[in-house]
This record gives sequence, C-alpha cells and structure tokens, in this order.
Amino acid sequence: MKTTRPNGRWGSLGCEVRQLAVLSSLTLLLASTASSSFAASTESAANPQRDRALHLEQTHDERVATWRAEREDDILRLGPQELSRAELERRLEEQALRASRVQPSDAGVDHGGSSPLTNTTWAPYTGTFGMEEAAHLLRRTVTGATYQEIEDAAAQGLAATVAQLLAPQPAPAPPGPWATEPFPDMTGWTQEMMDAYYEALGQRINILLGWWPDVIVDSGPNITESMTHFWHDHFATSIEKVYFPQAMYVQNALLRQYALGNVKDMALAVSLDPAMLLWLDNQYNWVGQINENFARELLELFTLGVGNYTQEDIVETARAFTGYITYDAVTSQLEPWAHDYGTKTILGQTGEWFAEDVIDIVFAEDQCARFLCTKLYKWYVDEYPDPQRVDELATILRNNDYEILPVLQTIFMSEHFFDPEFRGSIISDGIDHYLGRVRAFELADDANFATYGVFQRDWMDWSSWIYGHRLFEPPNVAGWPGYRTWINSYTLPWRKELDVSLVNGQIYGNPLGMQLDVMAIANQFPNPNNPYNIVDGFALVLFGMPPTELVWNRMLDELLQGGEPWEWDMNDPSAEARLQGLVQLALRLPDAQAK
Amino acid sequence: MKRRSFLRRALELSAAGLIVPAALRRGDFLDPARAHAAGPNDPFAGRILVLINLNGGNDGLNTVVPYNDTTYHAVRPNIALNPGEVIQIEPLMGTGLHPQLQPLEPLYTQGKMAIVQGVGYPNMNLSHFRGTDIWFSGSSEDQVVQSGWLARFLEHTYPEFPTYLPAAPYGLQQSLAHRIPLQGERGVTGVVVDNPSSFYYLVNENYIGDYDDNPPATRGGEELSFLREIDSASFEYAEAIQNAADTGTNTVAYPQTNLGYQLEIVAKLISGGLGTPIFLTAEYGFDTHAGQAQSHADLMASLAGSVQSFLTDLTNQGLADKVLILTQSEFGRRVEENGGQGTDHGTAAPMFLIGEQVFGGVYGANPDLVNLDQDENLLIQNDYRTVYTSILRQHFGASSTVAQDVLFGDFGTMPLMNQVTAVEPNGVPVANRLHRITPNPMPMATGDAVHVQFDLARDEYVQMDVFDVRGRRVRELARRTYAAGSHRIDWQPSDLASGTYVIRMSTRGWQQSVKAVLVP
Repeated sequence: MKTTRPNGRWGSLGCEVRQLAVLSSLTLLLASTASSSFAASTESAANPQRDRALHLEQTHDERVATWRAEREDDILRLGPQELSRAELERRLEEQALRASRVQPSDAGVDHGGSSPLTNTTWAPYTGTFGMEEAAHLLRRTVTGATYQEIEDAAAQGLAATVAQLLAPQPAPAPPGPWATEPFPDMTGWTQEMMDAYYEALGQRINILLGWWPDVIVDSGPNITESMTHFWHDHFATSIEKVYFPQAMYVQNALLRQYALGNVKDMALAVSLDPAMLLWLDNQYNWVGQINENFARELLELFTLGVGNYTQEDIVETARAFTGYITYDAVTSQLEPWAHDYGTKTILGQTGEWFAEDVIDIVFAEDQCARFLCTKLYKWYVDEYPDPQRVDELATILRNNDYEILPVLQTIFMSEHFFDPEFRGSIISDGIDHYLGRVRAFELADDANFATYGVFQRDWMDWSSWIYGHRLFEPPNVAGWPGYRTWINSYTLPWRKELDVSLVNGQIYGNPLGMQLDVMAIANQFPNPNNPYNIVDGFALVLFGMPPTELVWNRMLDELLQGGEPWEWDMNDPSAEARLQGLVQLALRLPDAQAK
Repeated sequence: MKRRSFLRRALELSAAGLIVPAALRRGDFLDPARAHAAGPNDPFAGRILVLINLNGGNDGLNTVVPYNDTTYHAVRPNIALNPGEVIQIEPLMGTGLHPQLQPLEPLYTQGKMAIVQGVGYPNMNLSHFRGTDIWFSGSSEDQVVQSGWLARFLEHTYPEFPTYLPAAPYGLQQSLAHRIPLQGERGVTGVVVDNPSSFYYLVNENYIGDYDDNPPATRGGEELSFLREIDSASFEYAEAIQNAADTGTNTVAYPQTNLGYQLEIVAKLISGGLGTPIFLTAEYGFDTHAGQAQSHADLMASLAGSVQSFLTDLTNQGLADKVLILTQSEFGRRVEENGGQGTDHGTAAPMFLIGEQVFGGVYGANPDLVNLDQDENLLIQNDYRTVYTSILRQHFGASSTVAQDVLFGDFGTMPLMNQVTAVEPNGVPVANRLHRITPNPMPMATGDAVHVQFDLARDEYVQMDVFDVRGRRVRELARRTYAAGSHRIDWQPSDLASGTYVIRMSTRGWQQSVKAVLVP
C-alpha cells in the first residue's frame, strides 16, 4: 500500500498537473510538450472485499487514512494542487465586492432605491406591440435578432412571441463523441500515449471554444442560449483552470438543461458538477483539511451576496461540502473518507448537513431569490434595479419553488419591461457583436467557428479576445463585470472595425467566408424604395433605440449621397454600395453599442 | 473640431439646465492643462516606465555571464562565452556581459544600469504563455489573475478611472501579443498602438462624430451619452498620439529591429509630450532552442543598440531624467546546453533596470550552477515582485500599502533607484541601501574623510569592508549592529594606493557593493 507523502505528495506529478491545469487553450496549441512527463499512478486497484474488511476492522480515522492514501493521487491527477491561496481569495472577494457594488455614480442621475426611475410595474403590458416593441424584446433575449424575426414577432403579438422565446429547446448536438468521455485511467500508458491524449485534449478545447458560438449563431428566436449565457456568467467557471474540455461541456450542458428550469435544482447540480469541483477546489475540500473556496463563492456570488452570511457560515458550509470529488472530470461522487459527518451550523440551522441540505438552507433565505432576481433584472431590464420591482420578482420566484419560467414570463409580458425608459439602456456585450452581428446579418449558415485553422475562426477568436468576452473563459468566478466595462478607447474602435468587416466580407484582405447581403436584408423592409424605411429598418436591427433626429438625418444623407429622397431606387446600380455605406456608418455610430 | 463642438454644446445644454454632467466632467479631465497640472492630477510627476519584454525566454547565463565559473564552461561546451570576449563589468565577481551588450557598458560604468541576478518566482512555470501571463499579471504560479500589475497600479493611482479619463492613455502597448498588461479590473487602462498612424487610422476610419444633439432623457439616453463620450475620447487619444508623433522628433538612428522600431516610436511620443506613463515594448525570438550563438548575439545587439539609441535620443532632448527602462522575460534557460547547441526552457534570469535615476550595480551573486532544483534549473535569488515593488515605490513613489495591494503581498524592495522617495510614515527607510561614496573619486592628497552612507530598514548587524580590485580586503569599516535608519561612516583612505576599490555592505541575506576610485 502506498504511504501518504504529506509534503512531497505533489512531487513532480503535482507540478506537471498544476502546470497543465493552468494552461490556456492557446498555450496548449503551442506548448503541447508541457504534458510530456505527466505520469498518473493508480497502483492500488479497487478491492471491494478488502475494503469491506477494512471497514469492519478499522476505526473511522484509520479508514479515512487508508482510503485517502489510496485515492489521493487519483484526485490530484485531475487538477491543480489545493489552492488555499489566501491572497487570491482576498482578491476575488474584492472583485466580487466591486462587482456587487452599485455601478458608476456618474450616470448623472441618482438611481438609488429611494427614487425609482419609473412608475411602471410588472402589470401586463397592454400597449402597442409593434416593430419597436418586438425589436426591444428580441434584442434583449436573442443574440442578434434578425429583421425577419422582429417582423414575425410583431405580427404574432406579444403573448405568442414570449411563448416562442420561452419554449423548451432540444439540446444541441455535442461538440464530439469525446464530450462526455471520462478522463481515462492512464495506468500502464506509455509516454507517447499520454502525449497523444493531451494533444487531443488541446484540439478538443479548440473545438469546444468554437462549438458554443456555433450553437448560439444557429439557434432560433429563443431565450435558451441567452439564459445559458446568463448562468455561465453567474456560475462563472473558466477552462483556464478546469482545463478538461469534457468537464466544461458537461457543465455547459447542465446550465442549458436547467436554463429555464428550477434554479434550486440547478444550484445543487452545479455545486456537484465536476468542472465546478475543480474550479473552486472542492476537489481538495476534505474532512480535517477544509478548503473554503467553493463555500465562500456559493454564499457570496451564487446565492446570497456579500454581507448576508458570516465567516463561520462559510467554514460550516465548507465542512458540509467536504468529500464531493470527481475522478473522471465528467461525474462526481461523495467520498466517505473525505466527508465530515459531524454536526454543522449553517445560517442558524444545525444538523449533519450534506450538500443537498446546504442548498435547502440557503434557498430558504429570502435574500437568495432577491439576489438572483437582481442579477436577472440587470441582465434583461436595466443596470439599476428598482428594489421594489426586484422584491416582487423574488416573491414570484419563491412562490413558484424557484422555477424561473414564471419570473421570465412576468418580466417579458410587463409594462415595466416595455417602458421606453429602458430602450437601448443595456450596453451590448462582446457576444452581441461577434456572434450577434453574424446572426442578425443572416450569416449563420456561413459561420462555422468550431473549425480551427480557417480565418473565420481567427476572426472570432480575435474579436472575443479584444472584447474580453470569450465563452468558457470568464475572467474570474465573479463573471464578466459587464456594463460600461465593455467599452473603452480600445474595444470601441475595434468593435466598429470588426462589425464593419462583416459588411465587407473581409478584413485587411483576409476573406471571412461570410458577407452581409445588404440587398437581401433591405428587401425585407416594407417598400424598400422609400429611403426612410431603409434607415428605420437598419436602425431597428442595429440600434437599441431609434436614433436622434440628427443621427437619423445623417444616416439618410449617407444613403442618398446628395440625392433627393424620391430618387432612391433599389434597382439603381449603386444601391448596394450605398446600402453598404449606410450600414457601415450605422455600425460606427455609438448607437450600435447598446441594446 | 467635432469633439469641441460637442463639448461646447454640452456646456450650452448645461447652462440651459439640461443635464449632461458626465460629459462635462470628462471634458474637464480631458483638458491637458488640468490633467498634467501638479498635484493629485499628476500622480506620476512625469515619470515614465518603458518595459521591454524579451519574448521567448532569454538565456540569462549568456546575457550576464559568470565567465570564471568552470561549471558554466563544462555544461555549455559549444555556446559558453569566454572571459576574453565578455565585457568584464565586475572582475571581482567574475560577472560579465554578452559581448554584443557593449553599448550598455558605459551606462553600467556610469552607474545607470542595475542588474538584478536570478530573478523569478517559486515554482516557475515553463510555458511561454502562462509564464508571460504570470509576469504581466504580477501573480504567483498558482494564481490565475487576468489583470496586469501595472494596470492595477494605474487604477489605484486614478481612483476615478474609468469614470474620468486622462488626456493621454495611461498605458501604451506596442505589441499586440499580450492581453494582460493593460487589462485592469475596471477596464482597459490603455491603448494598443503598434504604430500611431495605424491606430489613428483605426479610430479615425471608424469615427463618425456629428452627433451633437441631445439623447433622450431616459436610461437609454444616459448610456448613449456615455458611449458618445468614450467615442470622442478614443478619437482624442488617437489624435493626441498622432499629434505627439507628429510633434516629437528622434535625434539619432535606431537599429532596424523590432525593438529599435518600437523604442523609436516611444521616444518620439515622449518627445511629443504625450504624457503617458507606461510604455510596453517587446523583442521577439528569445526561444533559442537550437543554434543559439548567432541568434542570441543578434538579439543582444538589438537590445543594447536600441536602448543606447533610445537613451541617447532622450538625453539629446533633455528628456531622459524621468525615464526608467526595465527588461524582463518569462523565464531564463536551462543551465546545460542541449544537443542542438541551444538551450531549453529554464527558470531564473537577470533583469536590467536602466536610466538616469537607476542606482547601478549588480544585485545578487552569480548564479549557482551546481545546486539546482529538481529539474536541473537555477534556483531563484530574487522574486520578480521585489523588483516590481521597488519600481512602484522608488520610481513612482507608491506607498507600501498600494504596492502590496497591487502585487497581492509584501515582497520587499531593493534599493534600485537613486531617488528613493518612499519612506515609511515613521521615517524609517523602506529598504537597506548603500549610497554612493562621496566624494568620488576620493582625493588622497587632501586627507579628507570619505563618507559612506547607508540606510537600514530595521535594526540589523552590518558588515562593511573595502576590497581592492584583486578582491583582497583592505579595510574593515563595520562589524556591529545598527538601528533602523540612516547612518554614516567616515573613513580615511590616505594610506591606500590610488586605484579602484569596492565597498561592500552586507546584512543577513542582503548585500550591496559600490565602487570608489582613489586618486592621488
């Protein structure tokens, strides 16, 4: 039997694993040698009979020591060494604090709770549901709504559109047969086999990073991908540390499965999800040797928010989560030797708590629904939630046992959501540009981002990198800070440049393999020979709200090029070039950065 | 200009009682006169850091060469540099520079170049990308930090960022290859400009402007105002950079290399009065796995030649005083050469600090080529964050609290800069330090005392000796415990022969030497 190596137990193995785990996908491409001396050893095969015998003969402590000695390396081979990392945690905590703090005070108006922005409520919206309202609803819920979709929505009315948006969707095809493949037991593998496996992992990571973008671009007028994105931002997990593409896929599938379902069930499932176990170090959270990382973020970032729990609650929560471990990066289990079976007191409740109990206790707090609904409000309505409106949503969420669908229905059917106050009040994120434009320009069929090595994929990677919005790679566990942080003097000109490249079908001479057919879109507008309709139509697709008069006139001038309005003719040989000029202008206006 | 008319319009609207306050305040801050005025608006006091990243992992052992070390010659039979060819900057220590670094020799001799030996961090990561991320983020091997240490410092210095923006970008990055350096926690703290003209083109080509009307008085209108402001600011930045490039001049020729090209632009922008405190440049190709003799020599020539041109250029224009150059690389290389007459990824390596205010010398010992880590790599002598902390504190005058916050911990300092402005509130020096000898050269004839000044950060046992050029100890100056604070030892050198001497001060785990010349 193997003996434990208290200090040297990470040895060269730990080193290599750690090194691997932190490699970014890009690193992997170019530094596949990093895995060269990866040597997992699992010398003691499971022996149920002996285990049972030991169970009877040994004290609990002895059993823990025995099992732990046998399984330790199995755990360690999946990820970095225990990252107590007091400094990083402090940092993350600060970031979270910053993220949770009310956003910039320079907006010119005090949006504090005392003075609500508007008096509209969650009462059903009874006003006109025309093109503007349909566009608002679809801009917020679909990444890159097309003109056709907006028109269809307006035609079928609000109720039917919301039903369509919230309808359950079939799961997209996984990125490959490997997507749920367990991390193999490498006992007896040669160096070459291991090198080959890690090289394959690197390729799979690249496929995965393009797979979700493809799913988003190919999806219908439905909220599922937007909500999956929301939960990814909420339970923010990065492949940079998790490393295993199958673990990230499994988590993504989980988020999508629960995207419109029960939040409480999802919270439990995500808590025990392999990627999360690796990401927040619950893998190394063992009895007598707790790691608070996951417990802290569960309370602080996932459910309650800062100030609604104590350090003692964190410690006790961590104890309840001891022993939930993954051995294969796609499933998890409760390891008896690593679990603390003792009594814990969490948020005032005492018992021999397990993960399920913690979720029950936390979700019994009123603050939990309030916290979640605040984030949801910011995602879909506005950066400055009215506390009363949030409380009302939270009540709905609680009354429905944490089913999210009734909350979403309430939001999107309400007069509050359609309040003109909120038109164009959300700054579009990176996804809205490098994926949303592709989708809105009806280029989904031409886009295949999962294929590595073609320029189109480079364009997608480049865009996401510049915008700071790479799916599967949130900056930290607090998710993307979002809002105004998306925009600065670096990202803004690049957003325009890269948006415009879709109109030109190329950038710096590199063909994108997709190009906006500006005539085809314009021909969808009512009477496209009326230049006013052209301006209105593109503004509807590209802007968050109608342009000011001055900007509208500027757009019209661009289209007419000095001509008179009645001279505009879609059959004119210069029509396409002028339409392209108009769309280029529109994409370069600040108006095109909001939704 | 479009931007001005926007501001004027905003003023009119404000006067009329309509609210565009953010635009106005930003307008104030963008005013160069305000942004560069003395006081809190100019926290950098014109100080500039030019970071040169040596992409690929520079071979530290062939950069700062332990030319007398027999192990060095034994394990590098093909690529070791001989004592005859290296520039022997510290003959007593057997420390030399790569022959192609010759342009740096006068800077070293004048005490304007510090060499920090054996820099790295625990468990150095040997992946290029991860390693580079760690250096730029200023974090530990087991931390995943996505923001840059300089960006975090800039955010500390400008607590209003990004609500208000300064007249010039905080940081200007010349290479597109790295995303972390300017990534702050509240936003991107600078611009990536490989070429002022192309950045100007990017911004200008995409700038529409002409939206001088009032957005609706809704939340959407507020965000549109914000977007218009950033849009205008980008335009202003591009224009400021382009203007600085147009106004600025270069007075010397630069090597036709990546780095030469970049430093030429940086000098031009500084000359043009851009006001950006951080410039990030890079030279490529240091991943010398094979046949490194020639390629490494070329890279050393590019580094030294570019730096020489840059400093000469700035000196000619009277701009060198506040500029600090720092070199870094993601890791050094293996002690032993490989089968291809190259070297594989290693660990610790030297860093250079060059500038008028640098306190020159070699910090640390020649690398120990015998006692290596488990992977046959060099052990670390100095944590890179100690160097960063020293720069934050001594160059930018940051407080210890800020430096610790930026670098996630207290990594101490080394006395790398002359103007150590940072003193703890209680008046205790922040770091041990041996000052330059005064007067120097020491005139023997006058019989005057030579003053040896030093600082201690805490009560400590101090050993101080004078050595001659052959390494013989000729004087003991101190063998006792001193209290934290500044001290002076007076010493009569009149009985020594004229020539060069080295005064070395050591405390536990720390030592520093300064040179002094005794003249008849």
